[in-house]
Amino acid sequence: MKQNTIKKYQLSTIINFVFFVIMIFILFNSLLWLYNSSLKSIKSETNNYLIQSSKMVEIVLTNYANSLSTVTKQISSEYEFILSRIKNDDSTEVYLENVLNTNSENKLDFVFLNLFDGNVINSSVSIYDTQSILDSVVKSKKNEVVFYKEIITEHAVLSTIIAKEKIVDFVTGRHIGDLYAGIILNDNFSIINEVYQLLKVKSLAFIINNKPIASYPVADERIYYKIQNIKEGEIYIEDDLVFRKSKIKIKGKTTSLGLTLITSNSVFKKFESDFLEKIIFLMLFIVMIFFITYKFIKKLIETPLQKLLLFTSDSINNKQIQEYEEMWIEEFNVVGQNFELLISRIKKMNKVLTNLVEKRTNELTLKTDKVTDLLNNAGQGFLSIGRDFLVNDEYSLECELILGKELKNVDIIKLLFIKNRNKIKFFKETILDALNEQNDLTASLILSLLPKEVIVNKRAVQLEYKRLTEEKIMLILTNITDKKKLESKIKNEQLTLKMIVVVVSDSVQFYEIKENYEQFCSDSLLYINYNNTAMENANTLCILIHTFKGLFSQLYMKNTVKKLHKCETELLKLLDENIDSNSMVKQLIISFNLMDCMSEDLGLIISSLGEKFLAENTYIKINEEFIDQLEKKLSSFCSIFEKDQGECNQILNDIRKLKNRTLKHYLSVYPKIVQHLCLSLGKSIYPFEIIGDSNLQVYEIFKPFINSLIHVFRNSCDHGIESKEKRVLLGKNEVGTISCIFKKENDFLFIEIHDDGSGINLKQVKDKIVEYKLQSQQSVDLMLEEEVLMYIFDIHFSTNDEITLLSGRGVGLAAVKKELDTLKGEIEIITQINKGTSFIFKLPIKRF
Amino acid sequence: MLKVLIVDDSLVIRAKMKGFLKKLGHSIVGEAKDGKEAVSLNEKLVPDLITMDISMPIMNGVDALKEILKTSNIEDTNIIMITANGQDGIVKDALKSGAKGYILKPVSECKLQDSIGKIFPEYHNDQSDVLDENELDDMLS
Repeated sequence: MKQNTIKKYQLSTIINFVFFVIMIFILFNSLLWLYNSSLKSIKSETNNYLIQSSKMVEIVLTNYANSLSTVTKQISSEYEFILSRIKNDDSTEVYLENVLNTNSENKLDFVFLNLFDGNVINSSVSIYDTQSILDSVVKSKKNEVVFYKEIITEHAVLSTIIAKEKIVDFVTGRHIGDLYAGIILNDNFSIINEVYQLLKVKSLAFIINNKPIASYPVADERIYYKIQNIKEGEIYIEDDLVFRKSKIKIKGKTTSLGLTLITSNSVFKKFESDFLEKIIFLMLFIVMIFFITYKFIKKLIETPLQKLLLFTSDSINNKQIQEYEEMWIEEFNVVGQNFELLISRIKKMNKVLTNLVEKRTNELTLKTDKVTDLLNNAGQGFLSIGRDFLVNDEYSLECELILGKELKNVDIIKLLFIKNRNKIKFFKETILDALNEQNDLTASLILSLLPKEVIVNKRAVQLEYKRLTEEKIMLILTNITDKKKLESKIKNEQLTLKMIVVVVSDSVQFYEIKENYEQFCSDSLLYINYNNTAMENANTLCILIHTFKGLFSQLYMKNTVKKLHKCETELLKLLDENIDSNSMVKQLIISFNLMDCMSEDLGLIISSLGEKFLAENTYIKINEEFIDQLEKKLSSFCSIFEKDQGECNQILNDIRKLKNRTLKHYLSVYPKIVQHLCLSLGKSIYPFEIIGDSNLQVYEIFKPFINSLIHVFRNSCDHGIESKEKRVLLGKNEVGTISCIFKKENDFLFIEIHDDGSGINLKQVKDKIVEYKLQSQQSVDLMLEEEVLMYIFDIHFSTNDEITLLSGRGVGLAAVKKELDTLKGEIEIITQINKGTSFIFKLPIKRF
Repeated sequence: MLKVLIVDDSLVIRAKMKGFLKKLGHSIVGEAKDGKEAVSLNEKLVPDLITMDISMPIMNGVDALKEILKTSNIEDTNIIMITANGQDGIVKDALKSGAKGYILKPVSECKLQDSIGKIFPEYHNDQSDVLDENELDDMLS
């Protein structure tokens, strides 16, 4: 039994042992199978993966190398293009800058993402915030999205975007090329491959969950901790991560490069689940034995895995990749060198441009200096004004000399025209018109209307105008003071000569006028009759002075005329003011020193004809009283000698003739004067004689009236006889006719002065009457022709709008009327438009 | 040789102008006494040049100028205004309206030649015989 028991025990032990052995054997075999199969699958999967990843690396590197060489080529071609432009264009510096800036302005560009010691290096754009890039790529309408794919996996949203952009040179409009940029938010290599196959992209970016896979710290935290321990060139694999560290040279600096590849998740997941299924199935079967064999089996699995690592490291660390690495480094060196060359050439070019600009600036300054020198010494002033009429900064020195002050920003109008408002208005308008005018010829013609000579700063300045631009007018100032002085001197001398000729040839008249005037001067204060009003006295004086003015002007005594004109103006002013103080009139007359008026002209006559001339008076003055006495004596004498009565009477008559000159003698001065007058007005008349009894004597008292007739003659010349042109047009003889006839009828003397001129315009006279408020319109309309005509004798009445030295003030005919009234004479006017006018004076002679 | 239409109300001035223009080698195709006549003659004769007095009866020079330019092309219509002193404002009006030049009275051969020369550069004669040699000698001495 015991044996049996032992046997049993032994049997059970044996059975147990056998079972154990069998179990061990089965377990061992199954584990071996499991190991072999899993090892096989891991091996194949890892191999596959590594082959794939090494291909990827190869593709990435190739593409990178290609893109770099393309960039280099593009830059160099761009550079050549810029260089060719620089030769032609001066603004290349600016252009270069623009071209270099263009790339940074584009939101989309090449995107190279690689990690060098934790720094992202790329050709143009730094990418730290991929989300914004994603936004800009997708949203920007400028960029054409050529590929977009989104896959949602357990861990992340995987999306791939590739965009294309046409790059155009903004200056020339030339199409440079297309740029592709992409972001792949995924670790799925199938998509990357798909992208590669779809596009021949210049570069790609690899991004996981908004972080570049190659950025540092790496997106997957697991690598970060282990990355320090990984040796150069070693491959690190953990689950779905494969990491390799290598060294490259960039611009001669050794940099470590990390490359991370992430395997497809599904491969590992599948492997994991298969393995666990089998393990759990066996574990249920051999839980007990597993405990015993666990450590042993674990050991057995661990060792081959270590071998696997070695194997993978060997497979990855093959020669092909090393070759790529070397090529890559070489490319980098070439690109670096090219960049350095480019930079140095740009610097050189910049230097050349700077020199060129400096040289040109110098040349320009030199030229400007020369022009300024030339203008400053031209003897003429040059200045320019704009629409604001302010003098521009650049003007020549001569301007200051001529105008006498600094001109910068001075209003030219204030400089040239001091007060005349009309002139200023015309000047402004004309300048603006000329500036606005399109046609150059018209503009220059408009400018020629502007004043050509002005008196500024006590100088006569000649002005020339030239339009420079549509905003600028140049004024050329020339000082012509000396020239003007000379001109006026010559003119004065001519007048003086004329005066002397007239005085000499007509000395009788000259002496008479001179004597009369001297008489008037010494008696001038007597004309102020205190019984009359100041107005009346002033009026009398005014008329007398006007008459003398006319007489002197016939003798060309211009200085005298000028002074008398001034005196007359003052008197008229007094009349206008309605003064009522005879002392004021007296004061005025005294202050004028009438005697002095003639002295200047007399001085001129003396200087050329000698003092004797003035003394050589051909007249002998005989006192009237003496003649009266003589007459009385003779008549008493005659009464004694009755025999010779006839002869006696003859002598008596002759003596009386001494006292009373003939009318013809008095009037004979006029034909000559009228001839002179018409010539000076540019009109011509036939020479005429005074017609009438040459023995008809008149009393001295007639003399003022006969003298005043000068106004009637002057009126005929000035207003009556028309200009030659007008006469021709009216069908009249070009040469006008003025005649003077006198005759004695009963006890009246008739003097008729006739002209065949324009006649008196009644309507004009009427208008003037109304204008001067002498009569109302209604009463004028009712007036007879004779009544209207009488108004022309009114003082100040003149139908001529222009006041000349000769006539126009209306004083003339008023003087005639005044003298006529003292003689109690009458007047008749016969006038017909365009036919002529006759003044007929009727004077009683018996009474005197 | 230019075809010229003379417009002036004065017979004397017309005769004078005629003389000057003939001396300068131009032909006178017509004469008008006033603006209205000038407008109708211009249409009929189509002259190269019109000399136009400003102050004329019936229709003055500036009105006539405007009337003529209403129907004709400004570029081809050449009108020189003849003006008296103190008509600057009117002259400006005429120039702005399209006159090609103006001559201040009294008209002289020299002024006429200058004005024509400005419009027709080919008639701008530098060796004009306006001054004879004696006059030149006088001026120089």
